[in-house]
Amino acid sequence: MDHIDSHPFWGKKSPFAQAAYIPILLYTSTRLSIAIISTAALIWTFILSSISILAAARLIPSRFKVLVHVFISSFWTLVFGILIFLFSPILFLEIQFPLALTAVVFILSGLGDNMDTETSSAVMKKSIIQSIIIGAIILLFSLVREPFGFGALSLPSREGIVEILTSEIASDMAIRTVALTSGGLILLGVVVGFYRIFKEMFIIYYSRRENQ
Amino acid sequence: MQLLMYFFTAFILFNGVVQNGFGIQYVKAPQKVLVPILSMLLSSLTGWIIVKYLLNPLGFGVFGVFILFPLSVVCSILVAKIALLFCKDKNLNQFEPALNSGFYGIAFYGAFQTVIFAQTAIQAILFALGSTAGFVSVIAILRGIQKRSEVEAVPKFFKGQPLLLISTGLISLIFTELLPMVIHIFAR
Repeated sequence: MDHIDSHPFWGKKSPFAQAAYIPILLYTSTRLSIAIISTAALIWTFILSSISILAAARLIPSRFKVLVHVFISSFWTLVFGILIFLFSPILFLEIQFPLALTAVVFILSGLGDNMDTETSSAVMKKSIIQSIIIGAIILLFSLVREPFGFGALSLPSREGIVEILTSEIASDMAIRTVALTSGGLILLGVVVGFYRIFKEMFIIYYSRRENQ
Repeated sequence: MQLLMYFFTAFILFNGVVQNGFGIQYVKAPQKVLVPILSMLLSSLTGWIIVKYLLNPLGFGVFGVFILFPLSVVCSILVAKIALLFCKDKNLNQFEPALNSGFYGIAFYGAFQTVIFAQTAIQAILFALGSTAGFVSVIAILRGIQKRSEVEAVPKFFKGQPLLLISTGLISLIFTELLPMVIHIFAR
């Protein structure tokens, strides 16, 4: 059971098991373009924040540890934001909220809490895997929500969000609610329900195999 | 009438739970919602003042959103420390693990909406108050739904968080449909 509890996808810290991940899953999966940039921002923030915290671990007073982690993660999101702003100011204005939200997700993931007790390679491995898992879920969600909600797919570009694979028929047939927060919440609720069913099946299979 | 329109627009449009699922955790413990909403108010108002009067004149207003998360965490810790003066339990850990993230990001979300949309101080105050009132109302409605679901025949795998998400989605749908009506009533 310990193996499953600590698993990044099936465990207790999975994005589907914790309510703390709901805002980022909802907001960033509205459009594929936002999902792509947010995934990049997540990987950037998680990796660079982990490296910075590991490097400065001895210098951080334990009393202000969490506050320093907050400032470090916010700093790296700001750097990523500046890079996006230099690439395209229009794109930056459209995605500034999910960019800033990645720092919140880093703190909520609790990666910084156990850095004193774990090795640097274990911390780095954890932060890479966790950011990739959240990013993959966001991308998959956006691939469902955007085609069904807008009848199109979008990509980030210098001119902002550019729609590709769009047609009038698809746009007319689109179920707008799926792209809205309400549809996203309902979809996420159903997905979390099915995730629990699969998790239960996985636990039964795993415990049977261990007993054999 | 216009002030009421600002308040009710924020009540629906800047509502963290309905618009983004922020702070959905407080449905399980609605009695703990006072400190988060106070930190939401404080971070919204301080965030707006800092961006409007410090960053905008310096030309860095566009990056103001990135200071809102650290600011909201500082505000949350400050509010929690003040709240401890009135609590029997003097330990700051009672607000963990939410405190370090600005109460699951709700303080950050409130500040973001106020900074982006408020043009005047009155608007900032009304947006902050409206979003806070909206947050508390939705938490109360969802708590009622959760209580009812405990005695109803809900499939095992959909009990708890999945049902909470689906019911929040339905409330969000109702709120979204209400918004044009609210604007129509108060804009006349």
